[in-house]
Amino acid sequence: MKETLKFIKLFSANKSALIGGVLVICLGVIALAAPLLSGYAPDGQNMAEKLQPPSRLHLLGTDELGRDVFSRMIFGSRISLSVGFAAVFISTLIGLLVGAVSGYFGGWIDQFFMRLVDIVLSVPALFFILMLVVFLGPSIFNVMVIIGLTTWTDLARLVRAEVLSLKNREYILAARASGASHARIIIKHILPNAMAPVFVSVTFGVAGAILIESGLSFLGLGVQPPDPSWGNILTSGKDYIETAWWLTAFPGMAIFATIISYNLLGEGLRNILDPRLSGSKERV
Amino acid sequence: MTENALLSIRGLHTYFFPGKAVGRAVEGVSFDVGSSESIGLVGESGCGKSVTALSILRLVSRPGKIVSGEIIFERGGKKEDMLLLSEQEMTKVRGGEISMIFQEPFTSLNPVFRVEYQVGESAKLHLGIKGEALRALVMETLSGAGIKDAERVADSYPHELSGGLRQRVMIAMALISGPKLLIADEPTTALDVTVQAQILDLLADIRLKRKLSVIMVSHDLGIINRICDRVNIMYSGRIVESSPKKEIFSNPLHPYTAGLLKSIPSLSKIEKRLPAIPGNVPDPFDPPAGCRFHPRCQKAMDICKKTEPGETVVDGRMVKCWLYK
Amino acid sequence: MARYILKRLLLSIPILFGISLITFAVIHITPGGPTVVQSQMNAKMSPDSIAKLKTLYGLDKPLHLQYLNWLSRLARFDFGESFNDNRPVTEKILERLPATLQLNILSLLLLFLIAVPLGVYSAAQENSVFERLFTSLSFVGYSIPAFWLALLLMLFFGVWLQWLPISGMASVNAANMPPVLQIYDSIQHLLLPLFVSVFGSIAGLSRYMRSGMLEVIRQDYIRTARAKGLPERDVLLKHALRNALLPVITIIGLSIPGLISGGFIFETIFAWPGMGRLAYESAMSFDYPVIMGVVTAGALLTLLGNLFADIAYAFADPRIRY
Repeated sequence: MKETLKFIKLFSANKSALIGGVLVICLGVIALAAPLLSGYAPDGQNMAEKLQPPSRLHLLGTDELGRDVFSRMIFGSRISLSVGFAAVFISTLIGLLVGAVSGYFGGWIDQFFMRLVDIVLSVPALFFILMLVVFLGPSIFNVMVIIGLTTWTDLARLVRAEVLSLKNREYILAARASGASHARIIIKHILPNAMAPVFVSVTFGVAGAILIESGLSFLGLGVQPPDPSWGNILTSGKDYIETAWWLTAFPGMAIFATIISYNLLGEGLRNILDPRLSGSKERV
Repeated sequence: MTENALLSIRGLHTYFFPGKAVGRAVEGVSFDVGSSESIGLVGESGCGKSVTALSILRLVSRPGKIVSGEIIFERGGKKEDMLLLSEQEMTKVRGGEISMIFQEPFTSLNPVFRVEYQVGESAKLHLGIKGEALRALVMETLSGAGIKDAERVADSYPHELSGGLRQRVMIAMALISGPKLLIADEPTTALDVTVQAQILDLLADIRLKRKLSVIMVSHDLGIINRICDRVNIMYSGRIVESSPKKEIFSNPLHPYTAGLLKSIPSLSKIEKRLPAIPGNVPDPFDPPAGCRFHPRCQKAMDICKKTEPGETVVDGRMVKCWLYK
Repeated sequence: MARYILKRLLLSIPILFGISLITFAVIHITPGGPTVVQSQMNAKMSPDSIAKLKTLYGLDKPLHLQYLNWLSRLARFDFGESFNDNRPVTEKILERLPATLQLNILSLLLLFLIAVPLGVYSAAQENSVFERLFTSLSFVGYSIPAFWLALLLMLFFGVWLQWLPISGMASVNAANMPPVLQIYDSIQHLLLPLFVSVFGSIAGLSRYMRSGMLEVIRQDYIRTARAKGLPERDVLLKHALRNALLPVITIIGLSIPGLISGGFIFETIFAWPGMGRLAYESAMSFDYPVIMGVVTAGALLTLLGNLFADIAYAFADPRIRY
């Protein structure tokens, strides 16, 4: 409880955490309230009103099929956010597991996983993702899983380092001496103390996953029309770049705003949770 | 005494400003260093002795700041307040007229430059020599710092040298431009005991040879004993006692000095336990009222808790304690 | 040193092996494939001709034989032939490499020249207006999606102002231009891709540089340098910078994979004929040999890049000896 209060105090004193946090919540609320805000069905075509510039009727204009861009963007945020969270969930799970097991047991298990990490890091990650999506077929589900399966390496390394530094502490040795099982020691005693970098990495991870998803959707490999996504609206933007600037400007701004919000929040969390970067009182 | 002093510090205040809090690290320190005199600045860690030393060269880094005071230093026959000098003029003082050596020889040398470059850099800057003459001077100074194979050491990187050698390199670096005053901030604390003795002997020797004034900062009165003429005891940002060396050991005035003396391990008297002074150094952000030492002082009186004692002169020695009023 | 390099090269063999095996597995285990595409495009294709096609591509053999065959050709530096046009994969890669190298070497150089001074300067100006501006702007740079930035620039400079061409490396009629104009033309084509590729990385590298400098400035040896009487300029640019640059060497080594084929999104946008686009095209058309070639070559370049970075690090940091 005291810890939570201290965290809230630090959080509200940290500008980037506060701004990022508020923006992240706003974006979440918009996604949840999409049907209330949109005014048009996201896939409602109206060829009579195709490629209209922004107007009072269509706040952010319409696309080549006469669909309302604002409504598509708002519904698109639901898809982007869910892809982001699902992918990060998968990658965090793998990263935690690999990092904890690797760091805790050491030896050949550690060797095996760290070589695996080396291999994954030597493959240009984006291309590998692209290849998997092409071969497995583009769909929201595939994109989530593939991003999750390919982005766990950084976290695994972080967690491993954290576990290595924790595993010889007295209380861990005491737990081991009292006969606790490995799984219990890892889950009960080690992981809770290694959570700080995990929170930070999750926040940055959401931004990263949304960026990848929108890139893939932009190339036509992610979210497939008629499902709306910021990336696939931008595809139309590129096709109609000479005539319809609003198809490029607005969805991109949505991606940008989302990414910067999560990055701000992540940066703020890092400053709060990593004591090395904050507080100069100790240095006097 | 101020008349012929090489350096005289008056009312030095150095504070730290992290965020909204104010840490009063040095509060009203005044003392003199005569020509060829060796002064000790002694106290527990956190008492402000290192900050005082750094203030002389204006090397206190943020969030620390010298708030007020005078640091008068004699340069070329003239007395000048160092706090009024321009930054450019100050660079001439640093390393040229006043040099400093630090506690950690392991981290105080730049890991990516060879010793020759690092030692020579100062001479290049202050004496304007280069090439062969510079190399010759570097070798001579390294030898003067008691380094036997100066050539090899000069071509080494710091990580290739032992702690004792590195501290000798630091000393050579400090002396190469012929300063008048050397500030040594815990120069032996990080070293092995045997090496400590060698480095102290070297400093004592160099001091006499070069007629150098020295400010020796240390927490260890034993070290001070070997090298200093006069001792200033610091506590919580103030000098609480200033006495000639002999007298401070035979007859300490301030209860804090007495406490420090009792905690020196002695080989002749084998004691079960060193009577350390109970309690901790006060937090510079939240110091106690009255005499800063009163919560730890066994002789504390009522007045000590309320009012801070001023300077009292006893037999030509200065002490700040209500016992002597 | 030589022993270390040899050891590293030997160690990279299992990594390359692992990468090629994983790529091979992905290609063959997943449902998509060249025969699927071709039969979709041509509905009249009989099962018989699909089988023929498989034989032609060597896809009828057992998987382990296919992989061993690929490996044995690789041992002779032969990546096989493209399914699409039957040209050797090596030739296709070498053809695309110059465009990629041109863009990436230029952008690495620019990146270094801009990001390092920027990071150093903002570290020296800690807590100033400049530093606050720098922090906010670098956040923008860090978070802006490269492909959107590319589209915006195309919109602005290509469509609205009509100052710059929006795709390709040269104009259609470039071959008929006098040499001076040809250079001018290729610079014009280079500007937007170069800007996009540098812009996103400046933020990251200069922030990294800045925190590195701030870390170094706190070190004891910086205080020593100041105590020597060095002017602040020399303290920062000689004593601090040398130390703060060390980790940057590693960062550049690590950024190589992204540069080689991670740039496929904006190479596709700008129709820049580099490796990234080759990778993209090969994946889209299920051109197995080209995919395997691009991934392996990319990984090889990455490993070599990391090795060079480590060697450079050893030269720059006297504490490290192999």
